[in-house]
Amino acid sequence: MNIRWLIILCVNLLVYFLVQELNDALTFFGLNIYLASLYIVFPAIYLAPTQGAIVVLITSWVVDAPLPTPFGTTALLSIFIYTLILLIRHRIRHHMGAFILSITFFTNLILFLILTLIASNSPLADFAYWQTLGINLICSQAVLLLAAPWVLELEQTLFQLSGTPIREH
Amino acid sequence: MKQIQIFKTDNPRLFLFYPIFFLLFCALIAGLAWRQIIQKESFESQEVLQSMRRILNPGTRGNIYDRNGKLLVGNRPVFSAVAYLGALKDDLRKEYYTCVKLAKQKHSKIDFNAVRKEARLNVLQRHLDTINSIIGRNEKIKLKDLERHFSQRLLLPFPLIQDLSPEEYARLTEQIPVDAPIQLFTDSARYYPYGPAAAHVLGYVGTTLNIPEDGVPGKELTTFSLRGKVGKAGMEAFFDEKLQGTSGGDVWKVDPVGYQFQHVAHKAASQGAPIITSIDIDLQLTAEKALGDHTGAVVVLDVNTGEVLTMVSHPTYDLNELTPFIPQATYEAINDKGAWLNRATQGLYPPGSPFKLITTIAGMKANLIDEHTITDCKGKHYVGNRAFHCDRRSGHGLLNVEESIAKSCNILFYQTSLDIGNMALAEQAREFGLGEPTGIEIPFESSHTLVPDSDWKQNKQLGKWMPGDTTNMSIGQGYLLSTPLQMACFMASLARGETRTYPTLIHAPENHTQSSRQKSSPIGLSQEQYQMLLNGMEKATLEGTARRATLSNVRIASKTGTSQAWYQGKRRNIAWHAGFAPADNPTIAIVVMVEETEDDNNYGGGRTTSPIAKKVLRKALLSKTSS
Amino acid sequence: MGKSSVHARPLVLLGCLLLIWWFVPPFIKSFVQVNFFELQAPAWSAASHLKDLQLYWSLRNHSQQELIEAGRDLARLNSAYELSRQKEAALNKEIEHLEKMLNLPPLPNYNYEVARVTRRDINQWWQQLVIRKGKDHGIIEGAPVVYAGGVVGRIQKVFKNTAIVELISSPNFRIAASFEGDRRPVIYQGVGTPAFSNPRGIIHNVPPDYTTESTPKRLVTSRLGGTFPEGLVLGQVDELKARSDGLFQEGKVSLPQNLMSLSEVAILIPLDEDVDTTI
Repeated sequence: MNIRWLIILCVNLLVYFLVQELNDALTFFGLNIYLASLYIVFPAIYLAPTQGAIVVLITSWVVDAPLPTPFGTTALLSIFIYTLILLIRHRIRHHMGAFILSITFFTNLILFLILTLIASNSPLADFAYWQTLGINLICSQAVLLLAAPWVLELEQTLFQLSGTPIREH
Repeated sequence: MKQIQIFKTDNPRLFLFYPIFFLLFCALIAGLAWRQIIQKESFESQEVLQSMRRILNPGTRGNIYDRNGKLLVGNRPVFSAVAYLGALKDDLRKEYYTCVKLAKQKHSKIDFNAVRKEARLNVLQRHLDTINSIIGRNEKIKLKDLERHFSQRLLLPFPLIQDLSPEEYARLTEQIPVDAPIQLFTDSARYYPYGPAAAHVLGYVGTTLNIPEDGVPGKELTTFSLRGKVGKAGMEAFFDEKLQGTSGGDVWKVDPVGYQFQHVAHKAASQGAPIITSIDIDLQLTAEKALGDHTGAVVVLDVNTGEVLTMVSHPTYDLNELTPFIPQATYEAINDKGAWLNRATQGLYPPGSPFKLITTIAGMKANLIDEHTITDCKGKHYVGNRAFHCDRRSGHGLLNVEESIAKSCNILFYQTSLDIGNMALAEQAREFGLGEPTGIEIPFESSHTLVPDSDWKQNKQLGKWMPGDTTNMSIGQGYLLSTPLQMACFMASLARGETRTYPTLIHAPENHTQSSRQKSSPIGLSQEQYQMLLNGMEKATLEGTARRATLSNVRIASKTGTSQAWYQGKRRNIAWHAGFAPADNPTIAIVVMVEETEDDNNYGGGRTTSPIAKKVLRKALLSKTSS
Repeated sequence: MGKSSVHARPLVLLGCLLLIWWFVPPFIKSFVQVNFFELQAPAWSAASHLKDLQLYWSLRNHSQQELIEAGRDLARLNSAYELSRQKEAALNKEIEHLEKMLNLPPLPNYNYEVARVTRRDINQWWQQLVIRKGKDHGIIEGAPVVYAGGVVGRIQKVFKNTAIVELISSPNFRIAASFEGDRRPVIYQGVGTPAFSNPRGIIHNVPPDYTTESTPKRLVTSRLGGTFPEGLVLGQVDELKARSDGLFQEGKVSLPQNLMSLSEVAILIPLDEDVDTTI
């Protein structure tokens, strides 16, 4: 049985849980870390398209469920980005971690900006809003650079432990 | 089979087509260039005109304050619940399809227009029901209003409930989601903290759709206007331009149906300039109270600046009942009691005995009256065969000038007027500004005040001017007509020893300096003559007809009067009190006028108006002392 | 058929998913959402319980001396609260008496349900808390949520054993409020939580004659809105600014910082069935 998708789904849920705990602790400072690209890029690169789509969908629904945005917003956004990555993944797959990291980095940036466009209902003329947005974006991208190699490493270790190949052939 | 040679290009017949095609291509390219480059701007502006709409939003009117900074006219918010139709587009479409489906089930033939109307009504009523359930009302949408809005004002929010109470507004604020198509809309209505006080001075507003553009972008666009306000009476009308705020507005891109699609530009409206009136609201309230239920007017002027401190006209109306609009019943009630008339500036009355002061001045100037002048009052004076009576039928006996003024004996003035003649008397009255509007900053001041003379009577074909007309005029009767304001101006001028006072409703403290006070030509009396006049007026207050206006420690110069006018076939007394105080250094001029309205009123200057004047003067002098 | 069709497959997948999602009836979406939430709820509850346990064990480490001191402080607090309670009971009777005299409708009564916070979701897009009580505990949508420092927010969604609270700093949170000691209603709306700063809100429609007179004023709830009881603290208004139309003033509201680190809140559940808190 192919459990590669299950491993990535579990890692996604673990990352989601950890990010939530981190954010829970950071609320006192008014900070928020957004690492949604971690749930999309790795399934897009390491899994078969359908399996990847399932993982992305399930993770997105978990993320989506408690949010005040219409249910499915994150899921649709993730699937859209996932499709884009699928279209270019034959070029990415030959590259090493640094390149994947940069894809993750830019994907997160795009997701962050799109979500801002969709979900923001603060007065746009408010300087404090843009300031917070900027600080959170910088912090998120910084944390992403630290967290992504660890997640990648974790997934690869789990693949090795379960005896499944790192990439789908 | 014959093979068709397609690619043979050297056929001479084809050469004919090359230039034709070339020309056609050139024409095509030129046309394209014409449309894309030359006509670009025209198409762009056409596109803008077709797809953009503008909403004009009137600025809030400026506040009006009294001379001490108390708010007389402000603005109160009027909250209403409105539906933004652009946000209901999807609901309307879905409801329309549902209605069509239902109609198909019921009838074979469908009136799509009726179905569309029904769908609109259903959707809006559903939202209104939500509001009804929150605030406990049972409002219904009128189909006629809804259809008119859809056809004429689609871009504007549709009002569901207007003039919400603070409780309803608070409930809706809390219970309607921030992004719902139903929202609270704030408009303003005029607010008068003192209700009926100074109603005729302040005036009221009406609504208008004619909003000034004030630089709101999109002048060329189809424009919708929210209702603005325009001054209809009083200072609201006179200073309308100043009080009007600067309009704001929004430019919207609309969809093909005309619903709001995208917000393009916004300009915030701003409030109009404030006005500081000369009215002293505390004194005004005192005067309003003192005049009570009497029909009449009270005018108090600052002698030195001409500022109107108080202007009362009764009966009056509560200005708050006229906003945001005048209900028909209110309009009729005000009409029935004759309260629309500002008696201080529009009421035309024979001035009565206070006019005797003008006769005295004219007599003094003609050297017909001096300190040695003694009149023997036997109760009447014959002009030809006609007897002209004095107020005291038994006669006052021997009186000097001061006593004649104090006791308001007619005989001296009859004699003097006959000696100086009608023209000189009229001329003196006109010198004091009688017979022409004062120019106060209130619209509709009467221009029919009258100082009659022989020419006027002849022109009016009322016959020849008779000596009896002159004697009547000498005591402020006959054809003479003046307003209480004119008489107050006369009193202020007299107090300064001058001939003219130009009243103003604007408080300008800079005018209080010595150099910028009201100034006009002097009356033309010697100091002794002027003192004689003053003594007569003071005596009137101390022991004469105006003794009910006496105040301790203040010297007051007064002249009372009771004139007669015919109203609806009945003779009515008009009671007057005119004067100024303190007599030795005048600061306040006052005129009180009360009309008889009932047969048994029996009003008289000293009886009726002097007590009112006393109350007002006490308050006015107290205010002056404290300020 | 070959390379190009292989490349087009992801787009086909995307198209199919979009189509499916478009045509799925709303109740199915709602069902999926509820289930996905309920699925993860135990994990958050477990994490919350773990934190409580952690706190318990850290408290266990306190010395006996500290416990004695804390007990003594608690006893003092209890006696102070007992006194307040008695005063409140007397005042309530007085209010009841006045209500009867003036023929006023009674003030709505509330049942307090205390709940632990399991998760905070506060960022530039949304501001919400997840609490460890739900439908089973009588929590209803729209119910006010408070804490010792004032208002926390309003219940937005209710699940079986959990509920989502929309915080007062959320831009979607709007209520009728009033200044302490002044009953005129003003509109309060959240604007978010800036980084390294207190959460904030704004007030609209403040009457033009109201001044903060160089001292900040406390903004409290108004019962005119129908959801919140009167007098609960929302925040502090430092400055008011007149609007260009002259009708109103507006100002910024500074909300308490501890709103961001709440671990326990109380939900006010209206006892009177006539009090409708839903929209």
